[in-house]
Amino acid sequence: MITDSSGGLRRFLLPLMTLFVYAFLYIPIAILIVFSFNDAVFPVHWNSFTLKWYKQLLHSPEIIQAWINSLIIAASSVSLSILMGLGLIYMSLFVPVRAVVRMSYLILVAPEIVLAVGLLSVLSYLSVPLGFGSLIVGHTLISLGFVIPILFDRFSELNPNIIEASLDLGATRWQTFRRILLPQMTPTIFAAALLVFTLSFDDFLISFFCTGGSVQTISLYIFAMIRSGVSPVLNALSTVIIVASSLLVFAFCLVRVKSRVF
Amino acid sequence: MQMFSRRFWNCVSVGAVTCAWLVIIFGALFIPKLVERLHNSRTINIFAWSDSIDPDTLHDFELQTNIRVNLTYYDSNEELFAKLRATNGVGYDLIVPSDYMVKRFTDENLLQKIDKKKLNFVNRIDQRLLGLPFDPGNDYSIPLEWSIIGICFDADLFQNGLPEKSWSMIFDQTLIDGKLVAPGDARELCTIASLYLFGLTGKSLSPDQINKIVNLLREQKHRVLAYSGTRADLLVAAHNASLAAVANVYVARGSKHVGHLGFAIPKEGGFLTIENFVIPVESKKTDSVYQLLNFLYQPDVIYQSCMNAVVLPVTVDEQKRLTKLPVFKKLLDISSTEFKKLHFFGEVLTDEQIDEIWRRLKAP
Amino acid sequence: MIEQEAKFCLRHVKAFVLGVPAFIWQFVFFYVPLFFLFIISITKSWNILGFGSITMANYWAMLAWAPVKIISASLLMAVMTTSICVVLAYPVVYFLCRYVGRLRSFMMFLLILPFWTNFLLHVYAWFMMLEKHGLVNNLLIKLGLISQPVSLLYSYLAIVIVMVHSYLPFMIFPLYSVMEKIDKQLLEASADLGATFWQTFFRVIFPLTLSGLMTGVVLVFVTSFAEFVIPELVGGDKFFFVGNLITHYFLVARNASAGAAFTIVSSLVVLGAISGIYAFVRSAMPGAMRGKKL
Repeated sequence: MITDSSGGLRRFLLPLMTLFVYAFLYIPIAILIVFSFNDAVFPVHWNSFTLKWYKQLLHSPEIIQAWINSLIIAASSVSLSILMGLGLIYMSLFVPVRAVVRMSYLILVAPEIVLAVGLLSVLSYLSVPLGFGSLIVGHTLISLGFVIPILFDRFSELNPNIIEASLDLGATRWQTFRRILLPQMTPTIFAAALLVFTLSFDDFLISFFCTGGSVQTISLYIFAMIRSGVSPVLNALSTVIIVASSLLVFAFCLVRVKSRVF
Repeated sequence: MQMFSRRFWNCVSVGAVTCAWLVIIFGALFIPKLVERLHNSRTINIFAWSDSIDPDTLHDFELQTNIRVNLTYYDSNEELFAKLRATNGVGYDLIVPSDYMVKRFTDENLLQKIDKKKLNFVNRIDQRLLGLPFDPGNDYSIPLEWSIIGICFDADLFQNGLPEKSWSMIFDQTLIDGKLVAPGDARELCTIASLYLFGLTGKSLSPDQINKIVNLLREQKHRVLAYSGTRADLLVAAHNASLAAVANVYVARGSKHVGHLGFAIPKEGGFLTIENFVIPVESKKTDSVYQLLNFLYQPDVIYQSCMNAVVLPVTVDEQKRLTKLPVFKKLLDISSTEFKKLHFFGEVLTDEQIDEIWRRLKAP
Repeated sequence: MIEQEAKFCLRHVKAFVLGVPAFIWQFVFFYVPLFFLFIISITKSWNILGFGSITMANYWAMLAWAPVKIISASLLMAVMTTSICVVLAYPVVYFLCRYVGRLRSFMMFLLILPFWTNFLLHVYAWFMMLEKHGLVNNLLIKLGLISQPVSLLYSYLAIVIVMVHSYLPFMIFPLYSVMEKIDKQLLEASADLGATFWQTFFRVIFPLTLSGLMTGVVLVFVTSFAEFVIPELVGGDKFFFVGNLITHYFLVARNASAGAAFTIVSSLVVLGAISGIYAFVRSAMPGAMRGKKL
């Protein structure tokens, strides 16, 4: 594989290290998936193949409710953040908005726990009921931190001449936005939506602090299960989530390749 | 004139739009409160500890009576107290606090008296769990479930039982064999340490005594596998730890899967924890609440929830029924002398003292 | 780019209506809370009606032994995690960029995947691995390195392992995106001029990948400094790091003022650490970071 004149040790070391890193990243997941089919409560030895943990998964109202809650929150935060991002782009046709875009960089850099703790404090102070509302607020905030830079990155790459040409030909800025900008940005919007959907679905910290005990999301459910005991149902749930995420990422990569832009 | 107008209108519109959006956003955030006010009459809001009430049972109740039940969980008694203090209990109709919390609530007049005539099960409750110091007349609280914190041990390792039936098994470095699991709850661990070092005299502790507790716990930390109240039985069952200071209900849970979990109540006294139903003073839906309570305390409902989850029954008949199963027999078989020696976690240490000990203990 | 119209008109208002929520959301839910944290850190009592008197007591309490120890332990953990991630990431990225041709997108896809799956699942997966009867123990016994199973879980080592596992993709991405842009001809030229592999690495590859490396370092350092889930679950809740103490202040002790003070102090510490790293790099490699901002 390595054909140039690299040192003998390096010839083996590089592929070996690469293999080690991939194994390090994937073997735990493989074990997790394998044991979801194991017929034993404690994952010590392999007993026999069974699908009973998956059946239990489908019949657990708690898990189903947590799943639904996570979907609702993720969908809301995606919609809100994308709409706000697009709105900001529209406004940038009238007024320079670089300051607002720069504001969103800090959200990415700041540790999530600082966000969560600040949000919890302010919402408690204002006696805002903690639940779906506070969760959606927090998740949308994080989503904005990703959506705004991604959309504006793409926006700045677009050919400004086309926009000027459109305005010169008499189109209003709204028409320009709808007919010219949006179509050119659609793959990016889709990619950003997919990214923040996954981020929101997997998010733990904000959910942990802002849930107020009444709303259970998938991440919180997994955390509670890990804390209170081992159950192969968790393995089954993990496998389902891993498979679903893989399909999403695959779709994302396909879109990227197909459209050749990002 | 035109220039002045434009800037003026710009400012006005900026202000108006911003305010409008703020109103919309915060309005949306406060919608749940509004919805609650509307649905008020036929909904009960319960605030409970994670494992205490079985959601399936509540579902059955909803189907039978058409009264909706909202279950919200709290993580710690401190969280419960802070929330209730802040809102004066408004928003909840039924709460499940621990024993010492009941006294705190009654001291602050946050609870209403329970009309025991409306309940049909009070005479079936185990007498040992009534009339306790935190609510002598049981005017404000009804026990829901109880457990005893003692020492769980690996019977494969300690084949003749514990060499010393004492809390020194988890503190004395010469006696500890293998790793142990310490309680995850700060108040539990600190109070047990306090009992071990000074006995529970009822007097508040001096800073010097606090230092001694910190030193003892930091020394113990070398042998601690994990601080967890809820995984302790699993860790001993899997032979990861040989000892654990844990509630007997978790030992029951573990014993459903393996046979080598032993449980002993130390001679200095174990700890009794009782989760109670209380009704906040602001609740107006007492009729629905009493209906729910009568439903939850039916014999079959109690028996089922004990079999499904990790609880010990408070009613005498169900206790007798469960002793037929070896798992529960082991745990319900407590002599009256042992029961009398049980302590409560109570208020030996203040919240600030516990916090200080916990921070100094956990620092790496 | 776009000319502003001289008259006030409703179109401007429409743009403002659509665009301003992005600003409001960030301002109200991020910047205001940061300010709020600062306000409650300098007072001891506060409620909806007003704030108590200003006092620095919360900050003086941060000089106690426990908070200082916790912050320094977190710094050490962050340094360890980041270093291990750097050491593991460079060879892999170099290998992918230099020697892997057609399979490269697929292999990068495999590296992206862990980032996109729920991070708690990865933590749980390591439970299975590190348990007394889990895979790692079985392997070590089979290899004859140990005779009795060892409790790897609930230890400092377990925390480091799971941290590296969780944050390695954050280091690999930025590094990959800069390294793949390096012209292969540069490396060939360097070899032609007689440089050894290590000389090429330190004089050509390293400076060119520095911006990506810095991005990765910042991401991994800051997140591992503030992490609390991994120490709590995998460390058996035995070691408090910055994230654990913050969680303790806000959710267990319910002392938001002290918690806010600690959050601010920790944030300043990590900011200082990052600035220190940047300053060091900038002084050691004067040309490499020109034009790159934090």
